[in-house]
Amino acid sequence: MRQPLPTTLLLWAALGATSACGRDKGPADDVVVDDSAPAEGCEELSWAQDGLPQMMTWCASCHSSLIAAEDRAGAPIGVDLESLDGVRAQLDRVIVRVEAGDMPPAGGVPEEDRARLLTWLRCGAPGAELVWPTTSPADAPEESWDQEEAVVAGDNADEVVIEAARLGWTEGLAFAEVWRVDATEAALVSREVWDEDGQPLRLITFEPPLSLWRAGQTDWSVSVERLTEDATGLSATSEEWSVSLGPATDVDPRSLEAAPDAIFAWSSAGDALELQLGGQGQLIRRVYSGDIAVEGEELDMTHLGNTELFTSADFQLPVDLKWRAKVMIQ
Amino acid sequence: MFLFACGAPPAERAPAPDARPAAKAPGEGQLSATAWLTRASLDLRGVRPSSAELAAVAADPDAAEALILSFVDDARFARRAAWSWNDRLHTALNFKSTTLRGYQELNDAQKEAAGYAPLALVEWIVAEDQPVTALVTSATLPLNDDLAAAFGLSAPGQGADWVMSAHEDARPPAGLLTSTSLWLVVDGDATNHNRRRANAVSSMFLCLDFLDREAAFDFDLSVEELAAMEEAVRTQPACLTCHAGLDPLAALFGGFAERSDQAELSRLARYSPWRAQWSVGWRAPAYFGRPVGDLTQLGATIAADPRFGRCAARTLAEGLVGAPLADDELAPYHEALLDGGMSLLAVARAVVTSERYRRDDERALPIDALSGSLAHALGLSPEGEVFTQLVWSLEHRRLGGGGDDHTAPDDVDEPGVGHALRDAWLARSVATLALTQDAARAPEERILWIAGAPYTTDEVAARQVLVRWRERLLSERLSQSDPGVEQLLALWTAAGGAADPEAAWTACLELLLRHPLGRLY
Repeated sequence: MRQPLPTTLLLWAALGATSACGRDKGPADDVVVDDSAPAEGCEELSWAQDGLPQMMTWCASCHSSLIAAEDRAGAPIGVDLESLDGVRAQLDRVIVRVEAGDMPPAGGVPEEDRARLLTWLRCGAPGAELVWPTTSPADAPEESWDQEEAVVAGDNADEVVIEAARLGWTEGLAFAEVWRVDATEAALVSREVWDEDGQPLRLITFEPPLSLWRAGQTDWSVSVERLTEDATGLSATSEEWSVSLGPATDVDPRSLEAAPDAIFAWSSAGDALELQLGGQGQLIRRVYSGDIAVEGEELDMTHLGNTELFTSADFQLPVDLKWRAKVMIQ
Repeated sequence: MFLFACGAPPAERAPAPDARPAAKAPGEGQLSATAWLTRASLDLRGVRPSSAELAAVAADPDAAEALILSFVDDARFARRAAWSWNDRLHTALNFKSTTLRGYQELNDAQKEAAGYAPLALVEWIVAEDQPVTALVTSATLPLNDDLAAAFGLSAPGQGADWVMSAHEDARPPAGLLTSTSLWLVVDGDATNHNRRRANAVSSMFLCLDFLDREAAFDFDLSVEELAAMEEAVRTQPACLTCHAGLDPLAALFGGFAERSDQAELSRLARYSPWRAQWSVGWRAPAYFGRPVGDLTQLGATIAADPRFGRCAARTLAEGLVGAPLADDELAPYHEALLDGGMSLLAVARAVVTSERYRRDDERALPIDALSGSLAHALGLSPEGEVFTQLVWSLEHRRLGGGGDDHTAPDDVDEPGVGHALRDAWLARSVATLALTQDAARAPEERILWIAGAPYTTDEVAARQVLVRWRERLLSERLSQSDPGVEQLLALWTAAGGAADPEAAWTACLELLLRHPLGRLY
């Protein structure tokens, strides 16, 4: 059974003895590198229980060779502390910084944690590497946006159909959007919804066409992505689609104050309807309540108010959503 | 309770030898063998030791340890362990404070199932002696008919019994990391990018709360300047102290619903792969510098993290010890977990046989053990209204010192005035009911009226009854002439005596139900 560290050892470490850099041996499991460090106790220390927990908690979120450079928050490339080898490669440097208490830059490491880490470091970073499960970034779904195809299509046709029939989030439902595309504007002409057996459920025609893509939005793919349903994250359902039928003024996104440039998504729940509107760096949530049935194409909705979620002109919606839709030429 | 909650026979579960103390006789400041037995029985089984068990240990104090170790293998320990985890997960009772649309329309069983579901996984892990890593790696989660009704899922058809079930939607399997109940209690919205959920993961499974971190802020920024804030959390050192770890972790939880008072509960319970992908697009997901692609990978990574095991051992050990543990106090219990193949039973064995556990430091009985032990001692059904109200009641937990509307109503181990108020209510509520129910039983089945007729006025029989009550409610073994029995007889006389035996006996039981010895252990 491992024994607790001797109090004297902890005190020594907590006082931050500064002679740790004068080492003449490379780090190894059984090597005590600092002459002033008490030799006893080092053999009880390990990477898994004494080094890694502190390194992960306080260092590795930035100092990791496994993450992209832009996610390192300025941590120098090559100073990587997510592995035992990485720590050993930088041992002198790490000891100096931990002794100085200036990492993380804004501090925050409890003295007890710092002392424990220093003790382990001054023992030469003993222990064995931990085996982690193999992980990888999320795989993109099989269906992927073929941007090249879309561009070619745009050159040769003025109508584009976005088909989402095979997307998992449209359970039992499929739809198509017909767009009219010219040099300055993309306009939504119609939307057709059908069930998974291919039987048409609803055809919605927008007259005049609903302008959703304005000149100045430079990337065709971005425009389409912003129009992907369910940007709220709420899964699409047939009820959600039904609300787009309404000719009622309040539901027509063109009439909304603040005039966001694009419908972002809409969702409904019970007798409530949420419209998420976005564009030009703005995402505004408008919440309505009322009967969302579309009997006679009339909607009776009460506007409950707007909630500004994002107001920054700098806010950028993620655009890496190309896999969400498959584009075809009609 | 699980349908399959059938623990392995005790012989198959040898205790970790290193975790055992050498000394069996109580040292200075240590509980006596019978008090140790009582504490362990309440902690592990939720009931007081039987008369036979008390007698055995009174005759041979060295018999206590073997008995206590057998309690670890009792099927009731699973539920006790589950409730102790509520102090970490906070779902069971915080769910009751939710304002989610449709929640108030649920019946009590459905509400309780919604809150208890994450704890039911702990119950399963202990009942089946699964590695505690199943908390974050299990491919299935507990489901019962009540929970299914609450969340609009297919009912397993086993009533209130929990059955391990696969997800009906596309969420990746990852134990509690995919628990609907958990992420409805710990919700998120578009502005916090699920950071609250990320912190909950760190706090619940690593015992690291980002909110505990201290960082020196040396810049001035209004919280209304959202874009500047988003920039700051990526660049400002003070922000990075937390956000460098928090934000990449948060990017994994976008598939669960945002906070909404508009959407129905069943809708909020749905997982959206689309939204999960959208969230991943916000920030490359990672676990303290290790990229992870989805929740399944996150669960596997957490399970491999040494901080997880230490936290799991701490959660159970502190639940049993009833106090925070210093690192050196935790070390043997943590080691028992590692040596025991991540078995919580191994931790429990190490804890309840340790000197630290046997320390003579009176603590208040956790509320679930209080309700369960009283129900058992009085012969009442634990599903009875009074006890359900006690376990699930925010009000009574607050009386016991357990938080407020904004903090989790944890069990509070430090005895307080609130406990006395709660116990007064409990005694009034239950004494008459218990006596009446027991009187209606056949004589050979009676638990309280073990001598004479119910509400007897015969002194010899009364003494036998009172000795019995003190043993069942206070774990005391007294002679019929003990001063404690004499005091109760005096109360019996003063409260009505032979002229009103019903009032007299009710007063005696109420007194015992409020006795501090019944609450401190």
